[in-house]
Amino acid sequence: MIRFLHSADWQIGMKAVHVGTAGDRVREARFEAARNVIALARDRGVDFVLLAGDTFEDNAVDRSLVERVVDVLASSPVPVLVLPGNHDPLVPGAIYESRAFTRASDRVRLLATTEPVTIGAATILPCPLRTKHGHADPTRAIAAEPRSGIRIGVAHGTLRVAGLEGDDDFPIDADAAERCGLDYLALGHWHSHFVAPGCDGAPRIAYSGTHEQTKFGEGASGNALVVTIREPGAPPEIEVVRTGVLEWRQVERQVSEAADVGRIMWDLEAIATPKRALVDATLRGTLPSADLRKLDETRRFLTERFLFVRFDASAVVPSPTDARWIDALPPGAVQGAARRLLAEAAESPVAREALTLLYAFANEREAR
Amino acid sequence: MIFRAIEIESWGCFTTPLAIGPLAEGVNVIHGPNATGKSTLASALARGLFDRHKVSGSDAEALRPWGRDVGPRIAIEFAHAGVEYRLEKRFLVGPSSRLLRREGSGFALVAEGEAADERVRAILSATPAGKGLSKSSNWGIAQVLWAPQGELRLDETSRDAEVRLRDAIGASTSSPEGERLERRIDEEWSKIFTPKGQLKRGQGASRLVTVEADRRRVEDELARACADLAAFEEASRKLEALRDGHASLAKDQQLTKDRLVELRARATAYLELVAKEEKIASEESAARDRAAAIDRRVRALADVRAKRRELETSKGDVAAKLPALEAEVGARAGEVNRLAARLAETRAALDDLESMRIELDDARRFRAASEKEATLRPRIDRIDELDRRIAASGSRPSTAPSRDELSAIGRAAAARDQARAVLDASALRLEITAEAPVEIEAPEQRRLAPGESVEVRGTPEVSIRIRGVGIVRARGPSDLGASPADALRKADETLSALMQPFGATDVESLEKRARERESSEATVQAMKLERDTLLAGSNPATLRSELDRAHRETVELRARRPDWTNSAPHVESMEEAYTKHHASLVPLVRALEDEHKTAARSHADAEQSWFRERTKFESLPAQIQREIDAERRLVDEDGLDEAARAAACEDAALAWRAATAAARIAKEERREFGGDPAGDVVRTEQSLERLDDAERRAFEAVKLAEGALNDRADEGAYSTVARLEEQRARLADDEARERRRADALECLRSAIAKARAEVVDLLVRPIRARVEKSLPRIVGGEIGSLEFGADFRPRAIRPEPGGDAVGLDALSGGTAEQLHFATRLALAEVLSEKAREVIVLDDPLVFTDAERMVRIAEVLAEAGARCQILLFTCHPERYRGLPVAREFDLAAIRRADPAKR
Ligand SMILES: [Mn+2]
Repeated sequence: MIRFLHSADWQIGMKAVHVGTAGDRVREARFEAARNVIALARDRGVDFVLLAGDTFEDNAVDRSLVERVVDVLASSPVPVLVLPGNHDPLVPGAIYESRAFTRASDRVRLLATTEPVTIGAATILPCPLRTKHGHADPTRAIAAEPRSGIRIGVAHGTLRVAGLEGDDDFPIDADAAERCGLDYLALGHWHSHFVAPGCDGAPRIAYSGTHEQTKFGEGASGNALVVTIREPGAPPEIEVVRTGVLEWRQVERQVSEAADVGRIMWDLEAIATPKRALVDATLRGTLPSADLRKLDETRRFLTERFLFVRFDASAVVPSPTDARWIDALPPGAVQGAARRLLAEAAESPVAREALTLLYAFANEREAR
Repeated sequence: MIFRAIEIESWGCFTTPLAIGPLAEGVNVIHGPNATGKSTLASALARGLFDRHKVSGSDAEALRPWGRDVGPRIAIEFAHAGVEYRLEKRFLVGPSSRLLRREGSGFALVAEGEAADERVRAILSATPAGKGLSKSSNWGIAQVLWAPQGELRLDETSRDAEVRLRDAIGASTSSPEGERLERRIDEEWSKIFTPKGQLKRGQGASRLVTVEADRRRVEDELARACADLAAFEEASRKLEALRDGHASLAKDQQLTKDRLVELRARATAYLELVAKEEKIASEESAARDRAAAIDRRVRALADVRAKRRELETSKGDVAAKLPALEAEVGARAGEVNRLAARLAETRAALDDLESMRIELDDARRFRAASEKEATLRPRIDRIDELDRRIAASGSRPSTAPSRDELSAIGRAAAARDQARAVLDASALRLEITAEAPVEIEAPEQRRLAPGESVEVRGTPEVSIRIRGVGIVRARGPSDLGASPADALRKADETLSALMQPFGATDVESLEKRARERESSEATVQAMKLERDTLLAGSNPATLRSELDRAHRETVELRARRPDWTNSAPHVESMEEAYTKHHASLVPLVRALEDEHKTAARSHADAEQSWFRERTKFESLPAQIQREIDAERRLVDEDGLDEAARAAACEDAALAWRAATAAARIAKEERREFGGDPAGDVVRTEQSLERLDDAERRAFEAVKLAEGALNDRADEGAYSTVARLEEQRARLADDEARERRRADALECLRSAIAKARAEVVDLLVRPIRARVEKSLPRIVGGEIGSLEFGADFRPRAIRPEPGGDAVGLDALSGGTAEQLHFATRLALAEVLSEKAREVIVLDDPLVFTDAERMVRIAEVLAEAGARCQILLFTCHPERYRGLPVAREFDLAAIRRADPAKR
């Protein structure tokens, strides 16, 4: 029997472009999640840890990040096998050639060649990548030998599964596990967890997904897999364990009155650890002009509460029928302008914004 | 408000009181020629109504009547809101102000002083004036309704007038809150935009601009970081290529090393083959030498034996030839001796011929020497004599002057004679001719009879002393410079100095001497010429030695041949005898000598033949013996008999053939091996060296590239890119937000501007409608549509509906004037809707032609139905068509006034 931990796509040093000033926190979370992976390995008493590529976002990430990753990996009680992926391919100048990495302890093993590695009852067959892009199946490097012992492949690429075509970098045939005589093929590259059953119906090929979500809308991420194989040919037992740190919440709502806006706040307040949550809220619909102010209040409230908030209410239109506040405006040019803007508001975001501004100016005296 | 009547006194040009009125409620034409005070009166209305009575200042001083120190005074009767008022004001001197209202048939005081001024302003909704004269902006609606001369165009609309107009029209454009909002929006807008609507930059730039600049800066940094990242990846690719290159070189290097090992083994094998071949070849050579040696011996024996046989045959032959040869020698010797004897005889005759030749030579020399002696001696003697005579003439001293000296002396003598003549001529002459007997006492005593005269000469003065008379003295002019006496003295000195060396005192003797000297010099010259001719280029010594030589020769020859002492030999006969003898003897001797030589040679040949055969004969026995010895030696050397020797010879030949075959096989073996691999080894070694070198360089390049790559990797370019991209995204978001706000403000502002335009349009519509109706009537055609500003002033005209609006500048002078006229009338009509108002026009239409004036009269008449019109003009005829007009002829009123009084 063999038990190991399958993780991938740590993408350390990743850009976090649309999260405002939360970029550093988002990057830091990936370290925290990495420590969670190693802690999990310790808790479950696995035989080894397998990182199926893209541990680093790029070969040119800051070397201090490499040192920190190596520290995390070195804290593992069992060997950690690191496969170069398409983001960190084994090219000259690669991270894996850097002093920061090569000084790592023996427990951290780079899968630099296709040379099989034996740990306990298992033979690990690595398919390291040496380029950023490629159209060849990396698992072709594994020699189809008669089964002997538990054989575990580790590769990085795009599984060719009908209906799930992603990019065509490093395509991996759906029958790779059978072709190579593998009990389990550990894959990296997809950020969402995915399992493909083999011919025998057993889960022979799996993506662990990234250990920490990288952006909004990325499902089934923030996990690691604890895989147990009892004997050669036995179906692998896969346990999905959460390792992620941050929550990426996306909300899209239709509004028509102030209460709708309040409801969104209510829902988001339910998030237990707001300082570990990023929120992307998109609002559409109409609001009485007087309530447009409410949107700003909500934005302010959320921004203070959460790690990061994207609050897009640009598609919220003032109700065309609501003209009470306009009637209250001083007669003459200002009121005429307000009516003119209201007529344009449904079509023109600028007019909407102008109307909101006018509303704000008109209410300044009250506010003071 | 409308006017009822006006009175003024002591006002500008009006010194006497003037009263106009009652005025019609419609059109009033107040006319008079220029300078009758039309404009003064028109302006006096405004002064009276709007100026404080205590007005002061230089402008106010202008109101003071010409040349008088009295206060200008005005009284205006007017109606307003159903009340009839009278206002009386005096300015500058004893200023006062009184407002009265009609009560029944008279007037009652309403207010006085400042209160009266204030009350009038309130009635007319005018603003209080300052210290000086009121400005038209303080005139309330009069500001728009009163047009001073040449100011028909409305340049601005006062605030008061605007308010009154808006009230009259009943529309409102704004409110304090509305204005506050507009100001607030403008304030926010101008934080971002310049007055011209450009984004503010530099100092005080909006956040949009600074954020945009930050974003651009970050983008520049990002571009650099991306370039760094690309450089890192390029360096990685380069290193990979270098590593591949190095690996390929290392592989070539190994292959070459392997090949070199193989080549070196082959080279060794080749060397072994060559050595073996050489050994076999030397064995073959030895066998060949042995066979050749035996063969040589066999041949040598055969040769020796053949030679001995030949020598023995030759010995017999020579012995038979020798006696004949000996006889031949004897015969030849006899012939030689006979010819030698004959030759000796002939040669003795030759001695005589020789002594004849010597005597002939001597005779020739003797004759030549004798002749030379005979010619030379007299020549030498003559030369000697000439030399003596020349020497004698040269030693005599000369006291005669030369030709040049003589001519100098002649010139000096002439100069002296000239000086003397001058002296003589310059002397004073005093002549006394006596008329009666006188006695001269000095310079010498003398008596002169009558008719006798005496002359005294002298210089520089002469005198005659006459007894009983006195001294007669004559003096010449004094100080004449160099006196003729001095000149004479000087000429004398010059002449003496020239003659002194010759010891002569007179020129004639000197001339004689000079002639003598010249003749003597000619003689010597002739002698020298003769001597040179005699020497003929030689010199006396040479001639003398030649003479000696000739003399010695004759003496010597005479000594040798004494018979020549008395008579000289006859050379020609001697020459004849010698030639004859010589011609007979010499050819004979030559023929004999040739014959003797031929005979001697034949003898020698014969002797030689004999000697040769004899010698040969004597040497043959020894030669034969040598051959015999040689044969014995050859046989003794190998000690074999003939048969054994023949067998040995055959054996050696066989052994040699076998060795040759072995050598051929070895050679073939080497040929089959191929060429010498040594060259390949050298080439391969060189190739390996080159590969070693290339591999080392490639290795160094790899190390260098690794260093460069590590440096780049240490930069962590990707992390920089990530950080900058995040920064850029943040800034771009900020920028978009700021831009949205700027756009919204701009949008809001332009919406307000459009709304305001609509409101203004509503406001000015009554004015515009009136003008658009009246102006075409005046002009007599379409004028298009007009645009009015919120201040009720026409702004632009749009000739074509929907076409572009053009400025009023585009209108002709007449049309523009008519537009302003129509506008003033329209304003007056609008303001008169509730209560009649007055419009004051001071000679308004100066550019308008008669045709239009007719139409204007109609328009005025219609306006007169709604408002009061005060028209001041100097062209009353232009308004004659106005049916309802009331006319006031200023000139007539002024003329009438005194009478009225
Ligand atoms: Mn990947």
